[in-house]
Amino acid sequence: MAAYNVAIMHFTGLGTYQSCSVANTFIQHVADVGYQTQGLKEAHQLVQQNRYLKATLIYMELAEMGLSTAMLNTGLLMDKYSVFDSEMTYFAVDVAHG
Amino acid sequence: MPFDINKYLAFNYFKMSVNHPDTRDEALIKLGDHYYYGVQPLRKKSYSKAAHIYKYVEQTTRDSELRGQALFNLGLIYHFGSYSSLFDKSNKSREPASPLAEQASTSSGDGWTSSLLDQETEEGEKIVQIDLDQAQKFYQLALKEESRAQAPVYLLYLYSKWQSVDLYESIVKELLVNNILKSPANQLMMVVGAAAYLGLLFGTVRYLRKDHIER
Repeated sequence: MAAYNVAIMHFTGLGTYQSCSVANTFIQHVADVGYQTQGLKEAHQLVQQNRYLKATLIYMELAEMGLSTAMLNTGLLMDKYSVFDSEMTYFAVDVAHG
Repeated sequence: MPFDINKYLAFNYFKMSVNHPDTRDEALIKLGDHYYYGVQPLRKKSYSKAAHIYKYVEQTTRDSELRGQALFNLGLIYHFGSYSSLFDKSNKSREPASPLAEQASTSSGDGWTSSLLDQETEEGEKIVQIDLDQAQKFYQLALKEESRAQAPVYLLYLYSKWQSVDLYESIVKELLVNNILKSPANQLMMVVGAAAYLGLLFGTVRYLRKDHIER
């Protein structure tokens, strides 16, 4: 919580200089040590049980919080195992091709 | 090419994770693979961009495994060049044109041959020349890294060595003409040997067909 407050202080410039990169460092630290990182363990167990779709969904959620490991793992799982069914994605074809 | 949402999302997630220092190298390697194989969001292969990315990874990473992989991929790119795109079935219509384009680019010494190739598929694409010496250098560097995949690197290194050796040049010209046939004694030996071989052959044929000849 203290790290989060320091990050917000740097982000808004309260009592100290305003710096997005310093704020990003502190908020990254908050994300890295928070309770959400339990999801990394859970998703890793799911991958070991060959349940890739559920693991990918967990990793995607963590990636939106800014965990770089989760981003990389999401990309790797999607690249290797094709977790989503591409034939169900009619809506995206027109966007992609033109 | 059928639409594949996984490749799109994976590409975007790799691009996101490039911004973080602890996952940058691995994500860059995967992005380089995307450029090398030309998977979906890119629509075309780009060996020069892949080589650029691999070179960056090779220079910046601290992970020996990743550096070995980047070096191996660099060696592959320089070993086969852009020529390996000929083996795609989708590019079959371009087959007669591309060797000409490659010859033209080697003669001019410049890689920009976008006017000679199909504009739609290889627009502004820099052609990577086949450079066996460069490839061998990268393979040797990759063999020095602590990578798990030593065997394919070594096999491809031997293959590039084999390709770079000109058999006719080295055996016929260097060994036979320049070394063996220079001294008169060896020339005499060769003539005598040839005469003995022909005489032996003739004698054998005559001996075997003795009955037919006498009749």
